[in-house]
Amino acid sequence: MNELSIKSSSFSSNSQGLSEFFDIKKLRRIDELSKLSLLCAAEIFKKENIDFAKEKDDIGLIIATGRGPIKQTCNFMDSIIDVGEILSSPLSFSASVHNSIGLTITSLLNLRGPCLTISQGATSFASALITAQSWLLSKRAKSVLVGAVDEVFTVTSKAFEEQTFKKNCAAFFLLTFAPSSDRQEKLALQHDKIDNLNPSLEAFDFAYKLKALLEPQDIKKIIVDFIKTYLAANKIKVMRIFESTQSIEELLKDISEADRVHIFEGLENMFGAKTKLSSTKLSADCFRAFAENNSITFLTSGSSGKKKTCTHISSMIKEEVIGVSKLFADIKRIVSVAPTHHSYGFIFGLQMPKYLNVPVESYPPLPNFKWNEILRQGDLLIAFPLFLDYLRKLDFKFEKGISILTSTAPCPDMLIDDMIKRGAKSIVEVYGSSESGAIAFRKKSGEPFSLFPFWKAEYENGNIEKISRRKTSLEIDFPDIMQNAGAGKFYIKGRKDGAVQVAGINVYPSKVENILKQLEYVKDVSVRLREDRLKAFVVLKSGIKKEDVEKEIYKHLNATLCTPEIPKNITFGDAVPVNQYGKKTDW
Amino acid sequence: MKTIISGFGCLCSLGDNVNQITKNLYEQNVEPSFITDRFDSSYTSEYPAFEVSKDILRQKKADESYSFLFLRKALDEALKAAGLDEKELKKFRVGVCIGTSVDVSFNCFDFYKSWRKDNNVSLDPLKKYLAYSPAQEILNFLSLDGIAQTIVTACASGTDALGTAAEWIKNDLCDIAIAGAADELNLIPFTGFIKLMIASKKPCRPFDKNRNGINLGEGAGVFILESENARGGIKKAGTVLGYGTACDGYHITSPHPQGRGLTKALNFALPQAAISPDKISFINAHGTASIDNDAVEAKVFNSLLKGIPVNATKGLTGHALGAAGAIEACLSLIALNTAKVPKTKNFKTIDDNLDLVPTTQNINIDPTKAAVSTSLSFGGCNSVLILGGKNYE
Repeated sequence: MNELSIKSSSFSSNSQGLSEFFDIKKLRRIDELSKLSLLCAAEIFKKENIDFAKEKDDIGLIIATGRGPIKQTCNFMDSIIDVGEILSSPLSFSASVHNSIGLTITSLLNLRGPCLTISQGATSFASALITAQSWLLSKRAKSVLVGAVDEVFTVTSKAFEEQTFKKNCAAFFLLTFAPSSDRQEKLALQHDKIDNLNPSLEAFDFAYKLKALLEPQDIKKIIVDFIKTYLAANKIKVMRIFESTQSIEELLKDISEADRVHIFEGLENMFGAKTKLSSTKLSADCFRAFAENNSITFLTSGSSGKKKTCTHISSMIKEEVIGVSKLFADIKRIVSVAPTHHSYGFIFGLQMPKYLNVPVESYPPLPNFKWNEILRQGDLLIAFPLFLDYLRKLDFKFEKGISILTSTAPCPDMLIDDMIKRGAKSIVEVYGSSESGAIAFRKKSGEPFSLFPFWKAEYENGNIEKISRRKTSLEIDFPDIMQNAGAGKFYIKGRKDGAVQVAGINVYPSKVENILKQLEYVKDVSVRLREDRLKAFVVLKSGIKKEDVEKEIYKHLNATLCTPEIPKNITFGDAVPVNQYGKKTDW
Repeated sequence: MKTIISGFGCLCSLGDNVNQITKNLYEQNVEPSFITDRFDSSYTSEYPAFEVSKDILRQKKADESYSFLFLRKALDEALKAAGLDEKELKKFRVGVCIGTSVDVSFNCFDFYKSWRKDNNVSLDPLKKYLAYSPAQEILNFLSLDGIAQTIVTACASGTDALGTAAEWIKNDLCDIAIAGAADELNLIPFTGFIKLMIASKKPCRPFDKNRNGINLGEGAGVFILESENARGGIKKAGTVLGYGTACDGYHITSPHPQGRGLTKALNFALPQAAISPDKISFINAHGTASIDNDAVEAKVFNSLLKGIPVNATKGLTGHALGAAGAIEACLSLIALNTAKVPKTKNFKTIDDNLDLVPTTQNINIDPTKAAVSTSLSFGGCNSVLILGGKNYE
């Protein structure tokens, strides 16, 4: 009964929403740190229907801040240095006092109970919880609003360029001793996140984890991306669908009943809807289904065999977002060409912008857009190898200060190096799959990949055989053939494609591909399962005619493979079929 | 609440230890001086402040702040008085709760000035600042594990640290707590208070009609707090009977004119201490000698605790900011344990607007009664301690 419970929480790294609650004139002299705190407190009061105007002495307030209003302290020192003590700014001095954050909240939200400010470095938030509990035990307050707030300031951000996670945030929690209910969460802090450069990080991450993964507007965005991708893949309205302003209703207009059925089945599967979706309230139905399941199901591309469904629960997605976001602390905006219904686009193009609180703009992965006008300094471009190759072919030059995040499909080192030559500030490759989500990353071509800290590697004979998600029971076979490069580091040496069954025998499409690639006149090849047998798609080198080599190919296959391994059908073409994101697809 | 104080230590401009302070508290041969050798400011020869002894200042280690030096010295005295050492402390669940203002602020002026000129200067001062908190430093210093909290409610920090730690014990969150506060004279608050026009060029005069602002001070007060069960039958130096804190929600530098928060804090602390006003022998007022602070305190005391003797000690110690509440809790205990409240230094002229005359001479009190000590801070925090001395009944 006397365990702290979270009645409500909020998290913000941007104070723009304050104007919803307060007259802007009242906020003019308030510094950003206090504004962030005020916004979080106001959001909680709104959620809990607490009257802003009424004087309240039964709600305690504890501000936990590792550094306090440090920018104001620097401002005051700046004024002493620049204009001397005599002309220095008294306003900066009074705003530099740690207690000023509490004052902003107590005065504008009419709190009249106990108010404390704690500055205990990177354990400020955890320490504040002790006194919150004590206050509730002593009945000083019926509930305690504990807010963790900190800002990154010039000196640390410049001095610790590589290490600092540049994030000014506030995370607030309304705590009580009330019995647990569905809407209350137990406090469970992890004390392995001590970061002196960003002392309130633990509280920020904790508050983020308590936020809903998807808002209704996110669901609409995912549905739109899903429909557009379906229509493009099925060559329906290809040009029209990339007009980004189209609504769900407009996209579904004039399509066949069969296509509608396929789209609805896909969405039902994605959000786990237990009943058929209706056309009239599609996004509301999907949102309700998502809220019931608290998970989302992605469909793999099928590049390594059959398409598979992969369900991801909210808590693991958020852990992943927190882990990957730390690689991109500097960015000011995200521009994504990855659709949000794919796990990659979902994490980086939808969730990461929310966590980092940076704006995001989505574009279709078409090379004919005016990318020079779209991309600007401080952007992170969420891309994939095929799209980067489009840019290479266009002889595209990046403006200064644009970073790139790409999936590894794989992404050739030459392409990475080429992007850097074209002016990209940095390129981070993220290695993963729809089944696992993000697994590892590397920041430079040629270097080994590093596992994200939420994965633990299990080694056998010096190689990673399995990876398991820390603090969960999730364990997956390592997807590819790797070469060990030290603890948690590895090189990818090739796909470990899963066997498929033909006539009751395990056969390996990758083996068949390799056999075909041995032929000197074969440029590229793709092999996959077609109903009960394998099929192959072969691209011949320039000047080689199908008629001249087809028989020889079958002869070669018959000589080297057993019957179940031999493709029943070979298709010849100019290029191996890939989807719009560069992944091998069916034909 | 009855949290035992088994020992306390203190240093400030009145002395380097409790014995010296006790003597000087009543003799009052202490004056502020111009601090020209600690930091470079054109104001140092205009605005006096209360400094701890040069003997103490000389003992500062290269890798510690003055505030931590003060804490270390007061802690040593408090532990000895309580009959405790590191080995003995390890047998208990220990909490450390320290109040401060300067010690966790980024007041590394010299470093910052150098860094602005050249970003390649050594970052050691910055790294030390980022990793430091005095409460954790005390745990480290004593090689202890335990809960730690550094409270930064500006001028109420010391009172809040003591009250918070006493309540941890009451609520069984620890068995023994090291509670107190420390602050040092520093260029940033020194300049800041002058710029806010609440610093005085003369020795400060709490509750005097002609009061015109504060003198800054420095020092530390440290208490060893224990539950009655931690070490049964120990000799006590005092008791924390009650603690109240409430915010004004009014203004960054001015208290609410009707004393809204202070009234609420007293109204919580008195019932928690389970005493009526007739069981209070004196009030140690925050008494900064600023126009607004003293007016608000007088109004609230006249409303809730009319007729109880009031003294203010900032004419002897200066305003030690975050440390003030802890230093004054020590002075209050000294008064209770010697059955004598000191006169309010520099008080000469009655302010008819206040309807309050603080102690004008050292007066005898009943040592079996309690003392009230108040602190009002920047940001509108009002905190109150109800303390019993060694003879409290």
